[in-house]
Amino acid sequence: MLEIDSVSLCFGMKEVLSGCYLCCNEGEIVGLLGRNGCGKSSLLKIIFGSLKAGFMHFRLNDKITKRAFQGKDVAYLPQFNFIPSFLRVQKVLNDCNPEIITEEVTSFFEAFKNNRLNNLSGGERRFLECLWILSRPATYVLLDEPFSEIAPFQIEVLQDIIRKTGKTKGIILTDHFYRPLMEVSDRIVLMHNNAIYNIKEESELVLYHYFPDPGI
Amino acid sequence: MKTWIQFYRLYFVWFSLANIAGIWILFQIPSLTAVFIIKAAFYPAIYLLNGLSARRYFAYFQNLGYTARRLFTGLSLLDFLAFVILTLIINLFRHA
Repeated sequence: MLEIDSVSLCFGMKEVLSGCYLCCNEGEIVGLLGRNGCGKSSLLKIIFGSLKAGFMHFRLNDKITKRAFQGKDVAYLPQFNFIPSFLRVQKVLNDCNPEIITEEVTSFFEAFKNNRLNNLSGGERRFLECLWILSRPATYVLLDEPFSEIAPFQIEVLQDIIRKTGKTKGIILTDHFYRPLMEVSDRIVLMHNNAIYNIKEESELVLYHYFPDPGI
Repeated sequence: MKTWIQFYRLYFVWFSLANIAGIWILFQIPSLTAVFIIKAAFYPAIYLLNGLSARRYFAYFQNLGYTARRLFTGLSLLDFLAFVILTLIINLFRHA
C-alpha cells in the first residue's frame, strides 16, 4: 500500500497542502480531482520524491520512504514532455511492455516509428510517454494529466491500457478531463481547501465547488 | 550504460565546448594546475547554465532510478579524467 499523510507544503506565504492524506492499494485506480493550483501536481511530485515537502510521512508497503524513485517502486508521468527528444519512437516502443502494445498502438505509430520524438505532435508524444510510464516495472504509477493533448479516440485506447495496468498496479491519476478520469477510476478523491475528500457521488463535486452549480 | 550515454547526450555540446576551451587555455597558460582548476570550474557552470533546458528530462532518468546530480557527477569525473590524460599527452609532445 502507498500511503502519504501529514503533508504540508508552502510556496512563499501561500499554504498549498496542509495535513493531506492519500492512499492507494495495488490493483486500485485513484482519481485525484481539484481546481488549478490546489496542489495535485505538487502532491504527486512529493510522492515521487522530486519535490521536497515542508513535512510529510510517506510509507510504501509499510516502509518509510523518502525518495520513492530511487527504489523504482513508483513511476511518475509529469505534466510536461519528459522523454529526451533525441530518442526515436521505435526505441521508446521497444522499452514498453509488449502486453500494452496492442495492434491499435502499433498501427498508430507505424508511420513515424523511425522519427525522433521532437518530430511528433504534442498528442502523439504524450500518448507515447503514457505508454512508456505504464510499462515501468514499478508497483505504483502516478499520472499527472495523462489525457491532456490526446485525441478522443486515443483517450479511449489509453483508458483501456490504464484499466489493464491497474489490475496489477496501484495508479493515482489527476486530470482536468474529469469524464475520462472518472470512467477509469475505482475511487475519486477531491483536493479542496488544502485537504483531500473522498467523493462517493458526482453531486458532491458541486458541493465542493469543483463543478458549477447547475441551479445557478 | 545506456542510461549514462543518454544523459551524456543532453550535455554533449557543452562538454565538447568545455574541452576545446580547456585545450585552448592549456596553450595560453603554462601551469597545468591552473588549467585543471579552470577546467573543473566549467562543470558547475555547465550544470547551472544548461539546467533549464535539461531539467525537463530529469524525470525520465528518475523513472529509471537515477538522480540527475549522480549522473552528472559521474560523467563529469569521467570527462575530467579523459581531459587530464589528453592534456598530459599533449604536454608530453610539446616538451619532447
